[in-house]
Amino acid sequence: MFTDYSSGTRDSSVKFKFFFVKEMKKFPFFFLLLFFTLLLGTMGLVGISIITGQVQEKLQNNANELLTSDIAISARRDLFPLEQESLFKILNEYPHRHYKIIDIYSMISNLRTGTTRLAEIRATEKGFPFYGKMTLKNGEFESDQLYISKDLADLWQVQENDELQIGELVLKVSGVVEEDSSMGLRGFSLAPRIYLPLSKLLTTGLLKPGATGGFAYHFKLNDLTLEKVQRIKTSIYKVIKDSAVRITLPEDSSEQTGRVINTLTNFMALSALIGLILSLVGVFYLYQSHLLARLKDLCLLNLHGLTKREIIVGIIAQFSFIFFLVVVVELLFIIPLYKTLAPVLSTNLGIELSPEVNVASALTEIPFLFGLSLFILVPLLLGLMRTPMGLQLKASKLSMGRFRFWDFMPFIVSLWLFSCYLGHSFRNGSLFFISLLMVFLLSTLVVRGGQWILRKFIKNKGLLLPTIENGIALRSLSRSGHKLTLSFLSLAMGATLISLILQLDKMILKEFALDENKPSLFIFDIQEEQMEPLVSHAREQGAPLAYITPMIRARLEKVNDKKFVRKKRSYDFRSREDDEENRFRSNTLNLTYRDYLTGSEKIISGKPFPQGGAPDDRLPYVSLEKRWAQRMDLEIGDKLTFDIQGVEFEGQVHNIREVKWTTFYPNFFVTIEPSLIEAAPKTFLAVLPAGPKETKLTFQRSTVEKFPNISFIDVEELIGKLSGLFVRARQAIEVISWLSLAVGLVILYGLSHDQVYRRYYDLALMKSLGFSSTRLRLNLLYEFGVLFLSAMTLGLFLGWMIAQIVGREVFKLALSVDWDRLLYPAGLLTILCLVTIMASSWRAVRARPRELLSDS
Amino acid sequence: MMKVIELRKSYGQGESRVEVLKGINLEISPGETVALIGKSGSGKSTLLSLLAGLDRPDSGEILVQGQKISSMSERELTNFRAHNMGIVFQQFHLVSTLTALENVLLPLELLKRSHSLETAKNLLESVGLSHRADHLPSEMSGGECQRVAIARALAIKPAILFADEPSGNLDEETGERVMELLFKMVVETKTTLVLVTHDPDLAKRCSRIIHLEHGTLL
Amino acid sequence: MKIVMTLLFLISTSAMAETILFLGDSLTEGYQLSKEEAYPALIEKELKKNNKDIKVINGGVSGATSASGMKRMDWYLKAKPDILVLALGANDGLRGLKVTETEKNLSQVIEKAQGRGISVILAGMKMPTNMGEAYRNQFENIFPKIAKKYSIKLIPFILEGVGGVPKYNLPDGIHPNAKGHEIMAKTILKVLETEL
Repeated sequence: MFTDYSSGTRDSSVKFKFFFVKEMKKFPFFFLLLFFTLLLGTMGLVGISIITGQVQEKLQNNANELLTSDIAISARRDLFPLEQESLFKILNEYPHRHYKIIDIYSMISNLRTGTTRLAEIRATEKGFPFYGKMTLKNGEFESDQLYISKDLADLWQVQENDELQIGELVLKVSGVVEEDSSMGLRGFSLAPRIYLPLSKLLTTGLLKPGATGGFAYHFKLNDLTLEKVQRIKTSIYKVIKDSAVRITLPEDSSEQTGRVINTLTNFMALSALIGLILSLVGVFYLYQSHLLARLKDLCLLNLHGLTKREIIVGIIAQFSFIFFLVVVVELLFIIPLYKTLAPVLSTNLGIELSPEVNVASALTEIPFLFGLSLFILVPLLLGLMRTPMGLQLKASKLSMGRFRFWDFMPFIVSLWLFSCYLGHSFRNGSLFFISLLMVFLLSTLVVRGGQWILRKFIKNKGLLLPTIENGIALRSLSRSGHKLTLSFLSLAMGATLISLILQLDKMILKEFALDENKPSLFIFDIQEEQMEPLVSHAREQGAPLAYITPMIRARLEKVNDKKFVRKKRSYDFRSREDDEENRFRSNTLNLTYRDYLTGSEKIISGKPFPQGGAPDDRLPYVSLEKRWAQRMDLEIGDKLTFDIQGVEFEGQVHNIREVKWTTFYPNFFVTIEPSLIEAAPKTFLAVLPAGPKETKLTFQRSTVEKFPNISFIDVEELIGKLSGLFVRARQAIEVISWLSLAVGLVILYGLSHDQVYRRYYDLALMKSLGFSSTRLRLNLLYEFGVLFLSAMTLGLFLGWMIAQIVGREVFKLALSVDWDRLLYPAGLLTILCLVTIMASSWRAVRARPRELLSDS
Repeated sequence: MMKVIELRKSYGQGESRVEVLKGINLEISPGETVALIGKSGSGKSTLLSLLAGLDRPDSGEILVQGQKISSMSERELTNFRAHNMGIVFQQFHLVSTLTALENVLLPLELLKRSHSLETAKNLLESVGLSHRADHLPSEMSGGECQRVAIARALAIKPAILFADEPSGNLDEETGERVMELLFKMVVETKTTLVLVTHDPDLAKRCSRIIHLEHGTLL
Repeated sequence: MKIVMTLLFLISTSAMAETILFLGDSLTEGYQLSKEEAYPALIEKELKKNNKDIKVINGGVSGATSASGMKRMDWYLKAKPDILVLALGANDGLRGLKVTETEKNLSQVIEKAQGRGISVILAGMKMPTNMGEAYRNQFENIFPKIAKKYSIKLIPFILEGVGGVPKYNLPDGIHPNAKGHEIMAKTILKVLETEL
């Protein structure tokens, strides 16, 4: 090999031959392992970034579609002439198109059937909608025709060409709207819609002074930039100060889905990041052992004139090449995979995802991934720089320059930045980064502490503890330095992640599990005397009702005989900001009475109500929902005084309940024990469970006939979409955890292989002294077994703890231990650890004492 | 003590096959100190490895204290070696995760000898390293490590001690001291010694010198 | 037990004081406002200023329709009100319910009250223009019709000067704010005072 250098070592072709051709041919195993480690580690992130890119794009489009424009200025009244003037003065500085939308309720008559009913009218102008689409049953949406929504058409039995009287206007129905993209995930409305041209609405005579409705001015900028829109918003706020006038941007109307999906993708991205970190630890180890093996050759190269800098550049080039291959393979693999999965994802996310992959979006993260991966090699490369290469060849054993803590800083800093980037906020990213750091520090502490304890234990004892294998193993554990910590650490982190994901998955399952009996219709405003007849009516209609609950309106007047004043609370992620302000003053609520718990309730503190209702000699018991009680600052034992429509009612808080709101059944913050409360005026709620659509419609129609005051909300579609969403989210999370497990295994193998390799001479020596192969295996098993098992236990515990914290802060869940979620990964990991130790130690145990001799 | 009959050993396959030992015949008496001298490539390390039971001959016999070690199974060989032989390596191999004392203790505990701790401590003292009892090999100098290795090799009171260029990795002065110690202890304990070396001066200190050249004895 | 006590108190006070029951919906309840800011409390304050011995019961429930009137009356009869201000019907209108139904429900309540010797004052309501002329007229006419039938006083329109005036309403444009309630109190008091 060295005869090449006679022609001059600085020749690039020589370098190329050495670093690429010879290296890769000679060490296929190393490069293959490196390739797969990087592949596994980056696959998760690349896949997620592709999906996220698509989802974000779609959400943005979706958001635009929901609003139908770039910016909308609206109020519950028409804008005053002065306001309109100011508005257009600002907007006219930017080329744009605009239209006005008026939404009102009105009584509309169907001339063919002679029936009149309340309907929402949406009056639009030419150009509607700027974004999104109106899909008709037949034909295209024209801005000068009258259309009816499918829901209303079904319910009211209206057909095309029926004549409707709206105010003083009579118009023919030109078509049925099957889908209005501006409806989004809302999925329900109290009175389904009629679409009318604005010009026609003005002739109905309905818009006289005093009319109430929604009046909105929508604008689409010819040249849209976020900055322009923000500027416009600020200018308008300066001129129009009435808080009744609101300015809405697409991201504001972006709905729950957007938020939920964003949270999910952020979470998945961060989990995938952990997978990447694990794989990078593996890369670090691989390179470390590889460089050590090649050290002699590198020293020789250096001796013959190749500078250290050139060597390092060569190594970086090698690594870059492998990384490049990884990226190519990933894209080749993931893109077709995504194409096949796109339709499935679309139906379940409720968003139409385009199967065309925006490769550019996938590639945006690659440079970061590359940088991060490269940075993990920095300590090794710096170590090489510090190695006195040529000089070393005299020494019997070659060693690489040591790396220092500061060498890891580039990696650590870029990890932090990358976390913030993936979490889409400094807060989330930093929190994540800090938890990683905490895991790291805790693991280090545990290791050091454990070693200290072991050392105390070993002191002055012989080697037999009780056997020699054990003794040597324990000693080895108590004395190893950084390398031990790192192995322990990577294992602990892998176990932490797996445990965390499994625990969170269980939490999400518990929190968001949807009942089999999904409700399809909410029915309310049922008067007391109508309850029985309605129940029989429903049964006759083949639509039996479920969950019939009384509802009583009340105000909370006093707590412990002091007037109740609600303290200002920080933003609760479930409520909407605009209602928050008004809720402070208002203390009205809806309560119910019952002595049983529904399927979505669980008592977490205090005792359940006794059977049989409240006796005369004490205050009736009250049960509060956990989060509401927190918001209102109430606890068990508090005496509450309610004003129930003019009459005072006192009760005592007896227990706190946890409610699964996501079963979508109506639930109450306050329930009272059956007592005199039963006499208070009430209405009833009921739920119609999912069933055939025709039955639902007939039931609705007939009920409205018989009991005109009863109201309905149709939630079938909404619930269907949300439940699909959560199912997919959990599946995605599972995939990630398996990916991480795979990465963890690769690391495990690499680590134990590496550790054992270092012991080669020790093992050979012990063999020469009389240890049989079996005993050597036992020794290794003890040592690595203790290491891995303790790392695993720590990791599982930490993962559990982090999940509990996340569960508490984000999902507001109580502490819980799911043993099956701890034991099954424990069992699995143990088996995998053992198998891996055995596999990697098998080779080393074949160490030949012969090689201890000088001529080897 | 030790008898070697027509020992042959080759390495490699087919074209690259090299015959390293070409029929060695040898006899060593108890208490003898034998120097095995030869240039590098002469096969002396190979011979040592066969005599010490670290490797197997292709043909021929090796008898140690009447026992045919050349035909023993792996397990029997390991056992025999553990009980009867001590080896000191050029690269002063010590178990890196054990202290000096523990390294000396290792063979004793392996054979479940009684009073092993005492024995080990005494041995360590006799090589002058009591003050290094709790130090790891990485914390000791080359010479100190080799001394510990000697203590370890002699711990079980082996019938025969093999030394493979023990001072080869040490500087002149340290090497001199280590060899002094080695010879002193061997003579004291009346242990048979087989010393592999390329240094003629060192060889002269042994009671017998055997030359090995191209796989045959001269 | 406690309710009995409270009721006893109410009864005892009503022996001396005059009890006015306001039976209504969100307009009466004071939607998104505190009890003190809703018009019944304002009326009570005003009357007490003039040294009248008055007890006011706020029987407003947001979202209530006229159909809920009867059952709720039963509840309040226990408090033995002297005067009933009946302010239901608005939600019927906003839901587009049949006018005949509303009429029937309101009549039943009035008959029950009158049967117990309670004076009734009826609060008239109007629907916003977007509901359509035909329906608006039908709805508006319910109240004078009933008032005449049962010979009771009528407050022509409790949202007089408030309905449709942005500065007296919450941003939703439908519910009066605190200022709006002050005006409502004055409007109602004009008729109420003649009854006391």
